[in-house]
Amino acid sequence: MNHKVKPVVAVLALALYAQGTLAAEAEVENANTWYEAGQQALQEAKRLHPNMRRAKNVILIVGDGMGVSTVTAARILDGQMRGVDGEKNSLSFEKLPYMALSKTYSANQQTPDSAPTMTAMVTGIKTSDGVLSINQSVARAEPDKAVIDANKVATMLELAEMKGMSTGIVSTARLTHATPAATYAHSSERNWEADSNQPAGTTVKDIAAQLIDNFGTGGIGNGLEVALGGGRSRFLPNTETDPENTSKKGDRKDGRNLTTEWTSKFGGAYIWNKAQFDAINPATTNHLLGLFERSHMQYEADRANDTAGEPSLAEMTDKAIDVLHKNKKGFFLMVEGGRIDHAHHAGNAYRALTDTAALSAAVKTAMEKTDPKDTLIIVTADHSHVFTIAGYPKRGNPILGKVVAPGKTEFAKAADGLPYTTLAYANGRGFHTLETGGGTVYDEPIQAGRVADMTNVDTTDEGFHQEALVPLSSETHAGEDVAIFAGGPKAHLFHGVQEQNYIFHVMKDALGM
Amino acid sequence: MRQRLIPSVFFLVMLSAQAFATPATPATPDISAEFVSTTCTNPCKTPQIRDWFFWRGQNRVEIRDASGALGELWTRDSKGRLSYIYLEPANKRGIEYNPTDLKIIGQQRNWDRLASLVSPQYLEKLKPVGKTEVLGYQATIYEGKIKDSKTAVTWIPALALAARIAQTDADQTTISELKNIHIKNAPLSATSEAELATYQLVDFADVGDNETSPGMMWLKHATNAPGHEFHEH
Repeated sequence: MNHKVKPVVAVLALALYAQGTLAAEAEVENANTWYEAGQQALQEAKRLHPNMRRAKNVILIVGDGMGVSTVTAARILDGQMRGVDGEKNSLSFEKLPYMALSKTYSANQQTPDSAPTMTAMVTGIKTSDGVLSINQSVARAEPDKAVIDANKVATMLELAEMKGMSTGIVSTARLTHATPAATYAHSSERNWEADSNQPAGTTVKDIAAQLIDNFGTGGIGNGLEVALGGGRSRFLPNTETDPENTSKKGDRKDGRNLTTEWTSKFGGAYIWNKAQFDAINPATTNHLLGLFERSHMQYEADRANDTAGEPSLAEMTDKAIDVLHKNKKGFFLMVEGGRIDHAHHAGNAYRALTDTAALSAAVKTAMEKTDPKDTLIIVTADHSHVFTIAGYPKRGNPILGKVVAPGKTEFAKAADGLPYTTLAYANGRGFHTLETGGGTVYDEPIQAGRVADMTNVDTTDEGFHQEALVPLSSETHAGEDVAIFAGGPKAHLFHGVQEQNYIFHVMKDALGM
Repeated sequence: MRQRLIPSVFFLVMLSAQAFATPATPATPDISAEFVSTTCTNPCKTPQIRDWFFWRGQNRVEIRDASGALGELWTRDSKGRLSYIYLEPANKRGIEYNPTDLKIIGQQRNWDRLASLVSPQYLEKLKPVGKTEVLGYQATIYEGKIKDSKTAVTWIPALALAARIAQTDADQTTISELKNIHIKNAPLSATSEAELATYQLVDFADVGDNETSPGMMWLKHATNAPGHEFHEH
């Protein structure tokens, strides 16, 4: 079964789905079938045996902002867009045999941001907001490199490099963004992505430079074997014209071109578009840097419209594994679906869910290309979002649609007599939809709460924003636990409710470190 | 209190946005101009007056209030897609919105409307009622009623630019008027790419992760950026 959602197909499918022309596949369902399904699941569970082997490879896959409600809604949307039973559908990683819950709070935040959460996952310690792979004793934006060096914490990627393993990072966000950055950089400020982002007098190296300087000669190991994602401007000098957006230049003030430094220092290849990506032969490429956007890569729903073309998260994962698996000592790979978070912040569930489906496709690729006997795969999120699945919609009701109760054909009405959507946010931009044909009202006010009669609004439209209770200019992260899905060696150690930094300790143990 | 950038002009301009899916593209010579907008409730007691600058290139439109505190820069790529930068020139910072960002927050724009201040289709809803001259350019006066508002536009065909836009409804009257064009020794010039490179520019997608960042607190007060509002707590 293919979980990959291709954009054009997805848009078409969504249109059909919105029109109600895609019905859930007919399946006999009664007390016996439910009971038998439960028995079958029980038997499968009884056949599970912990894999006590040492892992050769570890793949850590992070859906940025992919809380449990996002997983559930994405599962349903994915199924409904493919014309199958959405509620019964499973995303690829939901088939992994073990899971736990992850407590995501940081050292100083009840609801965290991505910097301390990823630090927890890849270093084994919790830290404070906004800082990358340093301990909580350092103040945010501490400018002194000596302080950073004295308080930095080794990451899983660095440990793998020291062990002679191959390493890689793949993300749809900028490679200098908090989640990927925490794997290879140590900084007191997540926003110091290029030297131009740093205040005068700062001696801490910017994040992009650390991808080069922290490895190989003068650093650890022999350099990352794979780094694929966005963030090109952070790697190019401000004298260099961007190859895709020729009206723009790089961001760096120090004159360094980190893409050429990558190739000269590590002997690898640098690519920035889909054609170059497709031309890469993994068998002969040992260090691959791909920067496909000046900033973040496109959402999966918009990827087909990119000027220079971009690979999907699944395609990048596929290529990364092909490059990495050549090392007999194994590899550590971090894959991030980085834009789930961004779509939620914008209050646009459609893109958050289709990007989650794209992450599912990437996990499927990883599962197919590796052996569960020697590869530990972990799928989790750094934090959740204030995203809810609510009301009492009937089975098979379009997940992006308005609530229709079981046995009914009319929209359910709230106490104000108006229909409401299944999906909503506790805060954020609130209800707003595009008018047909594009143009909208300038400076549209944030409209929270019950603000419009949605009876005739197509809430499955890609531009629709679900309703929000508390008016904020950007929807926020949420503080509840997130799921950890796992399979492979030592995956059984993921059980119960764990602190987020526990993930590192399982990975390290699985690799015999 | 909620602040708006050049409110009177955009109140009018944006009203023309909805109905025009496929506007004809007028010839748009490069322009450097200065406008003044006056807004007043009816009957008018205390008019609010704002001066603002307008710069137009072939694929670039920039608007800035005369104080230089706030501005906006729209650019069009080879595929006709628009990107936008909310600018705070005085503080050398801004927020960047790519075409997808604009789409998902419902802030897409019509290029002709941006470049000419009213679109040709908007003019089609009005009737030509006379000729005049504005700063040496021949102009046509259009009048009519749009959405219960009495509307008048003075249009300079040679520049594909509205020189005066007046709208009166039950509550208020808004007039935006061209003061100068091809300004010499203007107090402000359009933001160059070199200048922009010195700005602190934040990707819109990163706003949500940064509203509590100590170095990014200004994002909370970027009330005139699309989707941004000032909240009184």
